[in-house]
Amino acid sequence: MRYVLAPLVLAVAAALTLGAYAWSLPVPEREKLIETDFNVKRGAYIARVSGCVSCHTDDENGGRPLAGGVALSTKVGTFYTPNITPGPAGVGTWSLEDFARAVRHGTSPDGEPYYPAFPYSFYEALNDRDIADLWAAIQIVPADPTPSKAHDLSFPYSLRIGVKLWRALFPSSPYERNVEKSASWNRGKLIAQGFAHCGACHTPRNVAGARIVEKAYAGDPHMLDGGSSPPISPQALKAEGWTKGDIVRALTTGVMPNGDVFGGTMAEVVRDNTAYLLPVHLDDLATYLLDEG
Amino acid sequence: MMSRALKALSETLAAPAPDPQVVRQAARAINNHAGTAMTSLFPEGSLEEPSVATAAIWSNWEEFSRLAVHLHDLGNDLALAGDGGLVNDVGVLPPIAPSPPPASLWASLDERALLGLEPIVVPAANLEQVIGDSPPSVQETFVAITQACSDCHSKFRRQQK
Repeated sequence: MRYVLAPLVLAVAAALTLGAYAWSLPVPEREKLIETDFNVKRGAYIARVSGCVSCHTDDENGGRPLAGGVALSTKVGTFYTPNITPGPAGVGTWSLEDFARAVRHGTSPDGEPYYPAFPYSFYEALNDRDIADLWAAIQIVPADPTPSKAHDLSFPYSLRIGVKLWRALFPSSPYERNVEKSASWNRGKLIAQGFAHCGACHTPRNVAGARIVEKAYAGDPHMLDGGSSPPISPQALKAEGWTKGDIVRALTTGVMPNGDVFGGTMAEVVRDNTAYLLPVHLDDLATYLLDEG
Repeated sequence: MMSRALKALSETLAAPAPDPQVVRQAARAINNHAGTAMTSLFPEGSLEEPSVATAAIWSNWEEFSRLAVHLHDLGNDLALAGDGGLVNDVGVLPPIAPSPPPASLWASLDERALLGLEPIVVPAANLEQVIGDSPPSVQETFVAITQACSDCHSKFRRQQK
């Protein structure tokens, strides 16, 4: 009997040890933002092209803007996007510093880690001005009283403590400017790696669901939602004959160079996000994706 | 055929001087290949390669048919919009007046529309700039066509690897 119970005891001990370790991990600090003027228009643009509006607005079921409730079905269960309107049910009690920490570090005002279904690791690239403008834009949205819905995840993914451990094991890689490249290329990189978070779908993930950064933009045959995505590295795009004009057209209209039209997730991304990119930013993004300039 | 029409249409609408003849041809191609011409390509159970259709086509035939007819109607709309909107009396495109640069990159943005508080008629801002002062119905129709295609592909086409 002793031998039968031994693995179970070991497993419980290991789980407790890991849990205690995860619990002891530091929570990201709130950062004081550099003083800045708010630009609501710019913030609204960031909210749109970064996916805040589309992900936090349940259009399909008549939800109000930014009131959350969008169901994201994945292999580990269903995530529901929260209400981020500026009322008590949303972010009405938050400070700007709370908001900055939530967006850039995926940490709630109470210090709880968000699941990486929220792409905070991409939004780390947003600077103080971006965050302040985004915050200002959210303030003009009417508050909605609908409470945020709890996620419906299978065990052990339902244990939020595991998220801390996951973060410690798979830290995000910060955005870095490449001084040898043009301003346009770098803006494109910021759009791809930050705001538009292209790698969330187009970079493959390991068994734990973390992105394999060495294979950035290599496409993901086993996406968390059960779908697959094609590679969008410069080599892959060039091999398929994509030009900058093709990329700009595809991201504004959904029409690919062969005349086919995107379906699935990418169709939604174009319709709800990239079609709103300003021409200069589309050009920047295409420059970066094709590694020109 | 449909993809060739969409490719030609997207290219000409992105060009500095869209070709009305291309718009007309695309409208005709869409019109001819949508509606019943499209639904007749999918007799029940025809899932063998090279079809990329899913069985949802037959379990939700009503929706598939609706989208096919909708696309057919949009082909008509495009033909009408092309004749009325892109071509002037002498059969050429109206000149595109250069628009003055905005006070800042953000000044021209509509924050309420971006946040979903008000609808945006045509989200493809760059197309709007290309067409300039001509009636917006060609681009609106083009956007509606691409959205109808996307909608149908999302609902009834297997994800391509």
